[in-house]
Amino acid sequence: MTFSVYFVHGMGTFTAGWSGTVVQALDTATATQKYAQFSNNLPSKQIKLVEVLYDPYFVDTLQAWSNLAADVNGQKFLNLDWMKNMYKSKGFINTNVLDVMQWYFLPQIQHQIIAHVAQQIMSNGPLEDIHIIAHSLGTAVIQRTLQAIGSGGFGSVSGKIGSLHMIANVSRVLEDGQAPVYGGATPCLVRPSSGLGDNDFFVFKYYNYHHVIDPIPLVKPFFDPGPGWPSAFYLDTPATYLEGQVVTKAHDFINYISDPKVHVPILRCLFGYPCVTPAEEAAALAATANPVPLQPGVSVSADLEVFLRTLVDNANLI
Amino acid sequence: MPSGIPRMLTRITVVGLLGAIYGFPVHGIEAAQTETNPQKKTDFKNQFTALMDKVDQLKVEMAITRSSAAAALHAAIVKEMAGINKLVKDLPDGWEPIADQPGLANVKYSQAERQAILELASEAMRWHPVEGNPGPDRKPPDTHFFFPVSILGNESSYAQDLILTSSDQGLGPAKTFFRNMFDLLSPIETFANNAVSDSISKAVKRNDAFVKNVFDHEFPWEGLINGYLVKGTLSTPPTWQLIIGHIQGGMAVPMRGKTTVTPSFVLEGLGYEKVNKDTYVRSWGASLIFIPAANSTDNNGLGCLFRFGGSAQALGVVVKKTDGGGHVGNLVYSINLGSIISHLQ
Repeated sequence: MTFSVYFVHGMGTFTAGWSGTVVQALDTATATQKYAQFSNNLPSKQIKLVEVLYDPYFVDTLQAWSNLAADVNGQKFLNLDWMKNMYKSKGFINTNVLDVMQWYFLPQIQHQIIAHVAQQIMSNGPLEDIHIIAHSLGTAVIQRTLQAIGSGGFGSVSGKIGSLHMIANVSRVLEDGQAPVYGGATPCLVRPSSGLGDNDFFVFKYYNYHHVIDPIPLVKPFFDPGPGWPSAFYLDTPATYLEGQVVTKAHDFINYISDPKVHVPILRCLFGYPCVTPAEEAAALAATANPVPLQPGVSVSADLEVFLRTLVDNANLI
Repeated sequence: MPSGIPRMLTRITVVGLLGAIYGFPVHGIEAAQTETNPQKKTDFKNQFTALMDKVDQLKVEMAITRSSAAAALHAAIVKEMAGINKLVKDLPDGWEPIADQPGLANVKYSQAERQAILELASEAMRWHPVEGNPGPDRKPPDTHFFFPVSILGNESSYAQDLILTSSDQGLGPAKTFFRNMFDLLSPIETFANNAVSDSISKAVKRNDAFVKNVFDHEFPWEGLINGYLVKGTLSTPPTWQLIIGHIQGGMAVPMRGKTTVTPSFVLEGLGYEKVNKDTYVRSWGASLIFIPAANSTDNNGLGCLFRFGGSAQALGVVVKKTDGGGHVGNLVYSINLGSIISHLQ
């Protein structure tokens, strides 16, 4: 079995080798849950790992802006400290929020990233043997990239992506108004086939994973896509596992991967359904069962719990 | 496992092939379980032949649309059709029903047959390289020249998905078939996608050059406004930009009277900058500028600035009021050290 598994990171600071911890989490989960098929051969040993890294493009922009500001800062009337410190400061705004802002509001950077990611995708053999696991901002990046490739943005392409796993999917939050992720006048190609005769799709399987208390994808949830998304090839899985019952883990890539509700569908998609038996799956779910709704006083205040619960309850109204 | 799965597999592979060839629904064509029903198998072959005639017509129509090199293309299309007809007509005979599992079948393609399919595809590819964006002079995606092979791969994967989501262990032969089809498709697909890869490589170079030579020299608000107004495409970044509120270091020297150099900064209020469409380097630009008074004895200045080449340096002229109530022209020299630093990094 030869296939490539692409890992696409989300917002934040990432450098080469970042995917190691995620792959290790997948290995750890299979070992911890004692899935027999992987007892002597962990998943990482059976796949060709391809790491997608696009954060440096955001960082380069901040560095360029800092240089521009440093040139004139301090002159009469001018105070560009906020811009000058963009590159040096490693706060949440600069490392996370500005990633999203750059992606959404600067097509110059977006096009550069899409071209680079597309190049990685097209350089690893048949598209059918490519499987992609994307997290958070990475889901928006990969959605736009696949739409660009599949719709002929770089030329007429042959083949379709094997499977797409969207974790904490924000592709709708950051969607292009001209080409909605679903529900638009022109059907998006980043979807599975709706059945025989439907060839206007670019991924054979589309799996969506959202943690029930992860608020980020809930800004504009990827729920119930409707016509054109057949159940056989589209899966929407609510994750519940919280490592250490720490609520801030809800959006964490590794926390998602550690959840059997996430890694079991991924493993089955990559290695075939029988690789995790129903009994093994049931045992893993029991072992990682997490009290949801959250227990007050653990790591989250009661007020926050109420807020999150309200958010989840009304998610489809957001 | 649902008992309908094996039956569905046969239906998917055969009916799906027919439907996908034409890109329209095939409701009403009952081709399920052809292996176990000789009459239906005959009907199926007749239907298939009739459909292939329509493919012929379609291909001829396509040939007309590709009339720029009509003689060569027509010969190519005839060749394509012969190969595709042979491929598709042979397909039903390439199945070997599995005795104890009605509706399921093993594939019997020999190595030689697979090689023949590959050669057919490669030959056609030489005539019709896939490159650039689809347009009126190129084949639409759903009538790609080796579409029977391609579609078969897609539909087989459709069926494979059904198999993989099932826990039935008796579907091994079908899995083998689908794997074989993928193996068959792989070299064809790689060959076809080489042109796309080339196109993407060019897009990467253009976008990298644009960001390094143009975008990195713009302030955030300039990037934001230009991004909104002058988007460009994925493959071709914009070839011009607006200069809006751009600030850089500079100095003004009066053209008459006492020569005093007053270091200050230059604010380019609004301007235009041309970008070379081949190299994505800034070629020239012009803007209206404002220079604030450097000290209490100095006055503000208004004028224009010209940029040359990709240089971070620029020359211009501003007019300042004099103490006597008149005006004096000032030469302006401006340099953007931040741009130089960014370029060196």
